[in-house]
Parts: sequence; C-alpha cells; structure tokens
Amino acid sequence: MKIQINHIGKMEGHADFVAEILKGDVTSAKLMTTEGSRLIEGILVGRHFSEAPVITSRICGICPVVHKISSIKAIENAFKIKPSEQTIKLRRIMLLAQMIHSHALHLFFLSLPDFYNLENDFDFISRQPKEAESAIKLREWALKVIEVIGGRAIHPIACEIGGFKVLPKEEELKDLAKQREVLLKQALGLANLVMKIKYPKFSRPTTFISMTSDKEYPFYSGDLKILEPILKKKAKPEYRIISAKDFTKNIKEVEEPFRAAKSAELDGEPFMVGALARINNNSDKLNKLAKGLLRGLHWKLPQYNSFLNIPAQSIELVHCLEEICQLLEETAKTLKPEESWESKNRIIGGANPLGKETKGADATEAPRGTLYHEYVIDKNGFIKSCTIITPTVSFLKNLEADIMEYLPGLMKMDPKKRSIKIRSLIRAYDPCISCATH
Amino acid sequence: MVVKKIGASRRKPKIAIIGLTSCEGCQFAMLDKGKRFLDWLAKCDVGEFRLVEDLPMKEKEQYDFCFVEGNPVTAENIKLLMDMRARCKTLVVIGNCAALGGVWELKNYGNKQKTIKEVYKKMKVANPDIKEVDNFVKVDLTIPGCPIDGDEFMEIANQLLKGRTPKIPQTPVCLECQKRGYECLLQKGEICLGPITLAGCNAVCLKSKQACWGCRGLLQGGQVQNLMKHLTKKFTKDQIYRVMEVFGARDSIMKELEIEEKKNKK
Repeated sequence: MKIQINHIGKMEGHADFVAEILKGDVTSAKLMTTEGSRLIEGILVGRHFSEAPVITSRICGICPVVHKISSIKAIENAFKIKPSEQTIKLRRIMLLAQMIHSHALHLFFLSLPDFYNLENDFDFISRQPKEAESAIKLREWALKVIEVIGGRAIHPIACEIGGFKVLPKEEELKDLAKQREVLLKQALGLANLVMKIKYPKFSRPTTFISMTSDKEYPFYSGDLKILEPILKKKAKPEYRIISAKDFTKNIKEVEEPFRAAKSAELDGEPFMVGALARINNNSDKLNKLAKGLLRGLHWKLPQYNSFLNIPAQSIELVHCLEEICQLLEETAKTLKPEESWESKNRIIGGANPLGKETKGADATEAPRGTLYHEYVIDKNGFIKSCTIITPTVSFLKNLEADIMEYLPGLMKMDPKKRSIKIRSLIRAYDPCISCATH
Repeated sequence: MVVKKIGASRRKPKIAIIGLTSCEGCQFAMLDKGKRFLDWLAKCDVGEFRLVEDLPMKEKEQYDFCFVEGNPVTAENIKLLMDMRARCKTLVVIGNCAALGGVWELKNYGNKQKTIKEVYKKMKVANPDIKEVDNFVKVDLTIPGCPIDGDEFMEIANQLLKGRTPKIPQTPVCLECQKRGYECLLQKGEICLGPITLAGCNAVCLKSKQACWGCRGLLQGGQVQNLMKHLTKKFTKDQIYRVMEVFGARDSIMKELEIEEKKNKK
C-alpha cells in the first residue's frame, strides 16, 4: 500500500509526501521536495566575499535576517573582525523580531487550523478573529522592527560585515519599545489558544541539538548542545557541548536520490532542531513570563513529542517579546554613531584584508533551528568554497522517522483524516523547503 | 476582523497565486501587508494560494488573474507555468526571479557544470540555464524587485480588480533617490545602477546607503552607454559586470548597450 500526499500547502516551499506500507509495516516515509535546486553554495564560488550576505539572504523569504547575519558572522570569523557591542545588540534585536514574525505566522496561519480540521485559513480567521488580529499585529510590529534597523523587512539592507551601513534613530527604537504591554498581551492571548489545544499523544526519543549559553537563551551566539536521547526509564539526560565552528565535524549532510534537498545526520542518526530542541536544552534561561507559561504545562523535560514544537514556539514568542523590548530600550539609551568595518574599508571586489586564504564559520538559531554558514575565502577575497546547513535539512530525517513511528496508529483511520494527521505532524515542524533546497 | 468566506459570490474575479522555484519572499511581501492584503483577497475568489490553504489543486479551474512568483527551474515548474497560462486571462509575474531570473541566474555567467559539482557529489538534479518567465509564456504584467514592494503590489492589485491595466511609470531609481535627498553613491565613487534601473522601490536601498544593483531591471530608454563611460573611469568592466550579474540584469543591460553602440556608430 502507498500513501501519497501531493503539494502539501501551508508551509514554506513545495513538497510531496510518500509512504510505503507492506503487510501493515511502514517500510518507508519520504518527504520529496519538488522545487528546483538554486545551487546557492555553487554560485557563491568565485564571487567576492562581500556579496555573500546579499546573496544568501535570498535563500529564504521568511528568514532572510538569520541567513544574512549568519553569513556576516562567518565572514567576520574568517577575518577576525570583532563587531561592536552596539552592532551585536542591533543584530540580536533583528533576530528576535524575525523569530516573532515567523512564529506568529506559523502558529496561527500554518499550524493551528489543523487542530480544528480546517484546510483554509479564511475559515480559521472567521472562527478566531481576536487571535487572528493578534497574530497580524505582532507580525506587523516585528516586521517594522526589522525595517527600522535593517532598512527593509524582507531581505534587509543595512546590516553588513562589521556593523551597519546606517543606524536607526533613537526615537524610532523608543517608539517601538513603547508598545510592550499591548504586544505582550497579544502574544499571551495567542499562546493561550495554542496551549488549549489537545495535541496528539506521541513520543519518540531522539537527539536534540541547539545552541546553548551560560548567559542567555541563545539565538545569536554560543556553543552547540547535543542532548542524547534517554532510552531507559529513570536514566538521567546526557549531553555534550561542542564549539559552533565544529558543526560539520559532527553533523554530516547526505544526498538522497529522491529529493534535491539534502538531509543531515549525527553519527548516522536523525536529530531534532528548532523551538522544542531549544526549550529542551535551555528552559532555565527563559524569561519570566515565558518560564511561567512553560511551568503551567507541567512538562517533564526533555519532551519527545514533536507536535509540542507548536506550544514550544508560543513560549518562545513570549520570551522573545520580553527580551526584544528590553533590548530596544537599552540600545536606544546608548545609541551612538559608528562606522561599520565594511564601510570604513570600502571593500570592492578583488580585496582580501588578510591577503591570504582564510576560513570562517558560525552558527545562529533561526526560527526553525540551528543554521550554519561556512566559507573558505582565497587570497584575493573570492569565495573558494561554501557550506550552508539549514534547520530543515537538519530535521528532515527526524521528521521522517517520526512519521514512520506515528503512521501505524493511523492505519484504521479514514484516508482523508489520516492525511490531515500526517500533514499536521509535518507542519508542526514548521519546515522550510525553500531553505532546504537552497 | 471579518473576512468573508472565499467563493461566497460568483461575481468575484477568480485568482491564483502560484510559486515556482524561489525564496517565496515576494509572496511574504504580499502577506506582510496584513489586513490590507487579506481584505484584497476577500474581494477575490481565491483558487490557489498554497501559503494560506491546503486544499487539493483545482486542475480544471479557469482564472481571471494568475500571479506567478519564482523561476521555472524544474520540468514540473515549467508544466505548471504553461498550464496556468492556458487557464488564465491575465498573467502577472511577481518579483526578480520571475522577471529577471533571480540571484540564481548567476550560474549562467559561469560554468554551470562546475557550479552543480560544488553542491552535489552524486545526485542528478535539474540544472538548466536560468531563463526569465517570459521565455516560456506570454506575460501580461510584471511587478519587479527583489523582493517586490508590498505597497506597489497592493496598488497594482487593486487597479487590476477595477478592470484597469496598470503601468509602472518609466522613471529611474535615481529620480526617487534625489527626491528623497539621499546621498548619491555614484558621485561618492561606488558602482550604482540607479540611473538605468526602473523606479518604484522608493530607492529603498539608497536609503540604507546601499548602491542600486538593478533588481527591478533596466529602465526603458536607460542611458547605459553614458553610465558605462562614467563607471569605467574608475572600475574595470569585470567589476561593473559583476554588480550587474547579482540580480540577473547583466544580459538585458548588455543587449541595450549593443543597440545604443550600433545606433551611435551609424
């Protein structure tokens, strides 16, 4: 028997799903990506390093901020450039804003309608008008934040290597921070709706990977935490910490004949990244209100139910709002004019400030999980090789392993209902096929 | 907020919004208009828009307007594009990928076999020369940009529903830049394509002190020769071409340059 779902909607990019069932056993479950490969890592070879942040942000229309910033951070590492504290604060604000608008979109418009058996967002908007308005308002505000700092919400312009081409005005940052109370109320309202839903009972122990830091709930920088699955009852969770630069030493990309997107493995096994991985790894670093929400759920961590990536995103939504408003206020107070490294050096094709071949890499937390960029730059400043591993590439195999485990329990179900159940699990991961098929 | 159920009235124009290979940023530029965009959608009978619905594809449906984002890279992309053209009265292309090929067109200027080897060791995936949508089907209207400007889209989309055929005024980015009093990066000594690029973006890049790299495409009557004369005083042709390549504008700019040079020789 074959289960096929074509053109899965309400997610970023294009994919079909196919599962093979032989005498009641699920023998394979595959997410086939159906969009063309853009060969970004290939076209970057031979281009000047200063073009990489511009080009790589075009990998994704929903998370261009994190692609641009990851690319910039990797290149800064290659040239040992240290951005100012102010630059880092502004970048962190942009990343938090992107997390807010991406999560709000995924929660309300892409994922939640599944649990009301609605296949069309318009029906869901009519059903939950208040939360719809909250989701839209949160998105508008977060997009405005990116526009104020980055010059444009989609494919931001102002951020570059070693700083910003232009800086926002103090007043603009203050005005954005003023809306804190209203926004938090809206986010909590949306989170409330998310928490009320009964998610399917499901559990499959797996490895969780996210960034980690002693100081904060990490998005911008840190090490990588690899949380091993607990396979025996009452065993204690074990984890190891590796440097973000060693990402590709541990995580390997594989090519498979049935899809243009690659997928990733850790020691030959699938692993999970994203909101649930971050909460499993760093829940003690959440801000106050977000921590309260988590406590209210009475979860025993780590949680192995991938559907809970949805409530995990809503907790992060609140966490990010608490964080971003504080950062906006802080940054507004201390804002001072400064020139970026790239503007100061007026880098034009053909230049390499070190005058010798160099390599740089870094990881950043994107809405869907850890994103990794790595570049080798030749002595003339041209890119010699490039590796980009996106969150969806990282969790593809974990998603397929989940479906293989979840599917046998759905076999007696009416095919239409079963199809919605499978799609809802796929969407719970918030996959971005555009990112995966870069 | 009240949004009427789609398909409630038969008089509404039928629309489809489809994505080929792209980052989908232009569809988000539309969605990011929030209530304004949803109100516009409510005036339409939306047949296809994968970002907000997960209903089966309506394979026989005829459309008044089809909005196409992205570039036809795979055989499936091309099939869908041809099929939608046959089933719609007006086909509108959205964004730089559809209009000019997108950032991925960069591989056309290099060795595409070498490019694919940088990405895949074993896998065979489609690796055609990147061609603009109008090489495959007749295009009725183009909304350019990487990404499109959401406000410009709303303006055009509203006019379309009123039965008008909107046109983007043929003025250069330079004009929009000067009107707003931004610093001229061409005078400052950078490679800026503002004088020959179609306006409509409000010179958003120049606002952030980023020179124009021509993502909205060549302005009709853009004086390419003049700009080249100015730029080659300081930069090599290779440096200038590299900037033109990023958003797929180099091929159309070069074509125009040839025409201008021929005219001037006569």
